[in-house]
Amino acid sequence: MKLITNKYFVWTAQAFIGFVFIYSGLEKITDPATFSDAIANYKLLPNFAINFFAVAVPWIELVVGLLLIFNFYVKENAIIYSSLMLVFTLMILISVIRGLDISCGCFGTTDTQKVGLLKILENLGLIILGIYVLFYGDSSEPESPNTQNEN
Amino acid sequence: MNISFSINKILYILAVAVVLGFLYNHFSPSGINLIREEIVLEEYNSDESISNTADYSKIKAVKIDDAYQFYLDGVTFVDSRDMWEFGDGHIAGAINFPEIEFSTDHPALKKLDKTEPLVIYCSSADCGTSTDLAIKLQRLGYQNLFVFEEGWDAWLERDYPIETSVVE
Repeated sequence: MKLITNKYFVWTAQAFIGFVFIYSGLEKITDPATFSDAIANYKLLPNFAINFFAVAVPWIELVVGLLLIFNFYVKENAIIYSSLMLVFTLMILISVIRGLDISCGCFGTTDTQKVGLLKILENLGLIILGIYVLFYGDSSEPESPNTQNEN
Repeated sequence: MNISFSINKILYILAVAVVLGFLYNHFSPSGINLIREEIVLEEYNSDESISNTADYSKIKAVKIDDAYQFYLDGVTFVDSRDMWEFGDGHIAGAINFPEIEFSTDHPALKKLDKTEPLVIYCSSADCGTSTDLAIKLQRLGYQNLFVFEEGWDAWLERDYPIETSVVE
């Protein structure tokens, strides 16, 4: 139990999911057109909404990832992280049930992994980490209130 | 263990990220339009001649009957599914060019002629990789592209010629 509540252990989990989000965000930011195609392939969003998400989601990932690593607003970021991961996982699950033969698009252009059970399990693991950080993450305010948000 | 959090902070973080995203998209050379261009292929009509244009809207969608006629006429078919699906079964004589592996030096490109007609397909109307591959090929200068949207599933249902191959 002590290990679970150990702040360095919690921070390691935070840093891990933070890096996952930063990597995933940067990959998409460099090639938004491909990410837009990936979203379109899921056939879940109306056409006019796709590019809004293609532009916004990678930056949410990047900002949340950085804030998690630097220990800012941990619980709030853990909630955003877990909610986004839950939405991604549901999208993959729906696609698997509909039998769509599409690549996941989860890590931008370099990711050619297909949607499937493995991806869902991977995501569930990442969601559990997010919920763990939500429960045990640092809820104190940043030490220096004057510190600028580095984004 | 405590899960108290502030909704205001969540909204603030999201707002900052979204604003940064739109600003970056506005100034970035790889930025995209805020409304996605919808890709609807014009349908192929067997009476018309095959025209050469560099506009993706001129990539034609072919229905199964026309696709089969193309097959009988010896037109090259390109399978945009992955190598395993291709190995399990594909339209007889088709060339495998998985869209997810697309690169300008992919070995499949050497087998494809830029002026000859090419019929591209994937598993069904839901897969989308056939249209994506057609658009990418067109950017490389391929001029005679057709997408057989109903794809492999429809072909199999009609009992048209197929073959399997061993994955290397």
